[in-house]
Amino acid sequence: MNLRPVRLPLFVRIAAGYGLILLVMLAIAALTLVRLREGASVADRLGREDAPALQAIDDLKVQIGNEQIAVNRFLLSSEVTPRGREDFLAPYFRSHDVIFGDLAVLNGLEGDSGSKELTTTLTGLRNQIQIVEAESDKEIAAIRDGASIEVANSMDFAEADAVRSLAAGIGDEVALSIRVSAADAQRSASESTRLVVIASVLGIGLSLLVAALVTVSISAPLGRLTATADRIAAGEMIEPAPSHRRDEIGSLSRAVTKMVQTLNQQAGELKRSNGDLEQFAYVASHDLQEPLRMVSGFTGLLKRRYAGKLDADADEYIEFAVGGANRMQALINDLLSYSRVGREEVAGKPVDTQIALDQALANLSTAIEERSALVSSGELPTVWANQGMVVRLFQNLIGNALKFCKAERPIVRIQAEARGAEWLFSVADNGIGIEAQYKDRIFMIFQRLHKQSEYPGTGIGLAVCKRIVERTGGRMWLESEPGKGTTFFFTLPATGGQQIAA
Amino acid sequence: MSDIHELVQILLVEDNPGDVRLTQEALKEAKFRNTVHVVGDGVEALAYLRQQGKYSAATRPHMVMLDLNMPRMDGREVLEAIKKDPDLRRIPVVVLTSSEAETDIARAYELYANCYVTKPVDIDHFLQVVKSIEEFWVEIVRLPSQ
Repeated sequence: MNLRPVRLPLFVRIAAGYGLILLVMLAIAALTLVRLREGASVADRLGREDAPALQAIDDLKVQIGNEQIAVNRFLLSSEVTPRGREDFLAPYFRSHDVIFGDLAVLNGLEGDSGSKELTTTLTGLRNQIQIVEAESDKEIAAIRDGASIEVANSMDFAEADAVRSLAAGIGDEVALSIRVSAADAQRSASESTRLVVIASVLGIGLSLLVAALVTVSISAPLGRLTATADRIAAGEMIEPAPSHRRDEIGSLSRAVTKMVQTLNQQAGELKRSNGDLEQFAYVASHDLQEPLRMVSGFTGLLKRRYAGKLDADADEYIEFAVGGANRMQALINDLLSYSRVGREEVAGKPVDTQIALDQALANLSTAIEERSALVSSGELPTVWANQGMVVRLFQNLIGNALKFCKAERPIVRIQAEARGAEWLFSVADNGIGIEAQYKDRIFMIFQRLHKQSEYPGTGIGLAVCKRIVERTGGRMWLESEPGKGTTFFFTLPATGGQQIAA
Repeated sequence: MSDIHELVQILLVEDNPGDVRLTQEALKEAKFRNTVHVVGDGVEALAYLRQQGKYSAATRPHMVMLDLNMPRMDGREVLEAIKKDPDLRRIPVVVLTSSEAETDIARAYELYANCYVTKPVDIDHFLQVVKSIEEFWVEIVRLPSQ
């Protein structure tokens, strides 16, 4: 399986997700609060008595009066000075400029507040001022052209008064509407602030609650399931606690429980049938020993006492009987030793494989000498196994290498290299080799590839080797080139705690 | 010791007639003249050693060859009874059995067996072993006088 490794536990990722949501919420709340505070300060600025808008309105009224006074003085001056005294017009133009400034302030207010009523009222005021000023400009122009005061003074003071009172009215109206809207803005601002704070607190509380609920309802049961699975993996025959939840976690838990039950049942059956088989093999071979000893004992005695004393046929019969009994004896002994490898406790201990190899070579010393074989080894490690079994493993493999060799001088090389938590051993020979199609069959019990007369044996050696390796927690295989040689590979655990296959 | 050399008395406790015969044949080829008394189970063995019932006239053996697996009372029980009996415990007991089980070997020595021998299957080997046992216990070992 090619799953991408998950680096963070689920609950951390859930917490991180909710943390992010929290951060975003906090940011939004903070931004909203800042904006509201700004709005409140605008309202505050508008609502003050000395607000620039109110000052502008007051000033506007004064300036319109001043304009009117200046125009009248100019008109009257024409009675004494022809075409009037231009210097009397200076206040008029000053006031005109000031009015322009005041209107600009009011325009700004209009933009700030966005109130429609205020816009209408201000437009009215601007129009009135324009009308009054246009009238004044006409009178000034007439005097300048030399017209008499009677002709020029077509405009009534009442008209300017009307403008003033309009301005005053507008001023009051504007002031009132400003105050009202300012109060509204302030109230709504503080209300919104409260709402934002309440919403934020609620939101934060809710997301914390949901995060806690998610953790409790997902992480906790998954954690329990994992702990149970770990214990099962360690070899305990237990089942996960039953779950009554109706959600996916419940389904998962029930599916796992069902799987574990099925596995436990199958494991139990396998163990039983395996045990039965072992028991059968042991008892059968053990109980076969007794009659076999009788057969081989008495045929042996017959041969010893009567060989050459009966006729040639009798001698031949006796020879066959003795030979058959001996082969059967060898088979039963091998069957017993094979079944013993399955029955014996592996009881792992640190085993120095160099010492085990030396022991195996000592047991094989006669065969090694007879064939003048060259057996060499690299640096060999300490593994976690059963000493006796490792000796037998080396002895069987090297014994085979010597036996299945046509070369003048058998050469066997034993090496080991570290592979993670295990050691990979290789036993290479220059023997006759094994054809590819037999490389699995060769490990089966009593499987032989050669005639008894060619290479004697029962075909148990490699089956025992494989069984020893597998019971110790390793694997075994071979690579071979017929005619050139064979290399057997096997792995053994470096340290204890490895699960031992039953 | 000259008595022993003249005629060695051996009690063979063995239920299998084939094994009895093989052992007898082996002892026939042995160095010393001997008489083999055969009993078929543990109950009879103890009766013989204690000269009870039909064995009231039995001679005390110089050595016991004991099989382990037998009906009624097996070799382990016989061994235990012999080694608990102050009168019999000096008699060397050779456990001669087909069992190679480690537990049987350990148990036998715990019960003070004098030695434990597994019957070889090969007849030549078997004959050799039985003869060696006889030679060892009769000729080599010094035993207390009766």
